[in-house]
Amino acid sequence: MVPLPHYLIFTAILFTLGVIGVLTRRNAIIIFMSIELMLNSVNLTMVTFARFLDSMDGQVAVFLVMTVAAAEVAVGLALIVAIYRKKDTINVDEMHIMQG
Amino acid sequence: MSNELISSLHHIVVTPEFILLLAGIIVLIVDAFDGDRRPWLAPCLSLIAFLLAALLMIGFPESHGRIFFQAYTHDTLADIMNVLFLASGVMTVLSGWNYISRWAGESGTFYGLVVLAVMGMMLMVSASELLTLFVAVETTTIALYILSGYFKREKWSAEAGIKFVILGTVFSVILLFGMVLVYGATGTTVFTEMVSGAAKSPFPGSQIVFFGGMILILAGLIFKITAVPFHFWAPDAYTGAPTPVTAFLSVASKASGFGVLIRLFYGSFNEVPGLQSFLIVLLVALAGATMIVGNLMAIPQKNIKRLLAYSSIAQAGYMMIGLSAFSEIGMSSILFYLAQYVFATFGIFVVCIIVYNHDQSDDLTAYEGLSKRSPFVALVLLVCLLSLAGIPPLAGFIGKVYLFTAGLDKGHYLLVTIGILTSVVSVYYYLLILKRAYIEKGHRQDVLTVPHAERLALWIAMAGVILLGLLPGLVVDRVQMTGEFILGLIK
Repeated sequence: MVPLPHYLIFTAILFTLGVIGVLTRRNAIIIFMSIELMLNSVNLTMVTFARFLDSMDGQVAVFLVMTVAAAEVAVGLALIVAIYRKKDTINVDEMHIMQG
Repeated sequence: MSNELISSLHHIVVTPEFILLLAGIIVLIVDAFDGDRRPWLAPCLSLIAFLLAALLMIGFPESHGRIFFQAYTHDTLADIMNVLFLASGVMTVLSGWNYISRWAGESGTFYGLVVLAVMGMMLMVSASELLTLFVAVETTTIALYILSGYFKREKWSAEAGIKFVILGTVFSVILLFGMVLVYGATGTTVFTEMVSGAAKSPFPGSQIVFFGGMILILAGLIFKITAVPFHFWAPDAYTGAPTPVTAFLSVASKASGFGVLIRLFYGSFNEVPGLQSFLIVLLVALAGATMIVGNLMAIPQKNIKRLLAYSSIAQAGYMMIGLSAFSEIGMSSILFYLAQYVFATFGIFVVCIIVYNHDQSDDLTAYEGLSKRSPFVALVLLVCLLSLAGIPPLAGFIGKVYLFTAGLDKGHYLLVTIGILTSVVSVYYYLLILKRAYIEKGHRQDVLTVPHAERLALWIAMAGVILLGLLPGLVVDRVQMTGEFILGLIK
């Protein structure tokens, strides 16, 4: 069996990639994709721990998390459509009417 | 076990939450079919649901206990927080009654979402298992995302919504990652079993994983209570969101964050070696930074919602003093401060709504000559702002005394000094608003008319602030019982 640290390091790298994506990309949809990457690394961690701890909690939790993530993205995409109709762009750098 | 699941206690314990869930769905459906003909139905139904839930909670005070395999705790902490959530739900409905129908047209969805968000918050505070907590947090925040982007034809609101949804989702994932690490390091998701789980340490290095998880969970919750360093979303989201939603965000959402922090760090994890001293250092530093940043950034603001956003960041800093004390008095002082914060903040935001409905402006200049246009509205603004500033005999003063005492008890002298000095700063910018309202002459002289719903909300807010100030025992006595109860039960 692949030892636990391998999995943890792998998911940590995935998570960091997601964070970097959120911080550097300016397109709202790509930011959401990066968030999904972070979520999937969390799911992978969950399954890993469930396997190593021999408990089902983590495996079941993944389904809950996927459902919640779908709901979150549905709202996020709806808002992206709303702002695209208003401003003709989904570049987050151009969302700056509020300052100070 | 299945016998335990269906025992009558369980039904009584979750009835208020269940009523709100049903009411939220009914409001959404009724509005979809009948919203055009009877626009008053949705707010009335939500008000009835809030009152019914509150009555049930007061009617069954002995319904305390842990249910659903330890995943759900109902105790005095949950009772008090739930009353605060229901109160802010009622205030949101009252303050949105005219504002939402006037500026958004179709309005019923708003009330349904407020009801569901309040339900999510009640679940959050009672959840004592990581996954239950996560789902409760998400139930709340998804409703809040929609609410803050509710005016989808206004670019302000859409922009606030999208900023909130991106940052909120990132921090939800961070919170979840923290939970997963804690689950991995302890082998359980139930709070009560975690201390023994952490002691067992299922794999080498699990201690580090546990601490890392705790930091990530703390980061996710700090985002919710808008404390430094994760406060940056608040000014934009608060400014752009519809004003009733801004009030709801700055009160109920913040209160739910504090409720979860108390539930997590006061009871379950007290006995993990090293965790508490580590958290104290972290929380003290963050509390100081939050008070300084919030109060200093509020001074130059020209928009009242933005000013109140920074002021609410500062208020979170004061409450973190109580949090960092890790004592019974610290916890009771947070709950008392939250109680007065609910009324004072809603009072101010209802004034903002009345002014906006008249002048379509959130600028501070719109408040010039307010006392001539409506003495009553100006009086409520005065009382609520002075309470937030901490002027005796109002409730905010007593709340701050409690918080500072809790800090001094544990020897956080520097932190309390910062708290007192920044309070003085806050008096300055609160008085700037009052100077406009009372001394300066505005260019508008027309009388402000106050509709019934807003008038009722203003009376509730003012009565709350003054009553809590004169009779702090109303809350404090109950809260002190909470302290004994929580610390006694969860350990």
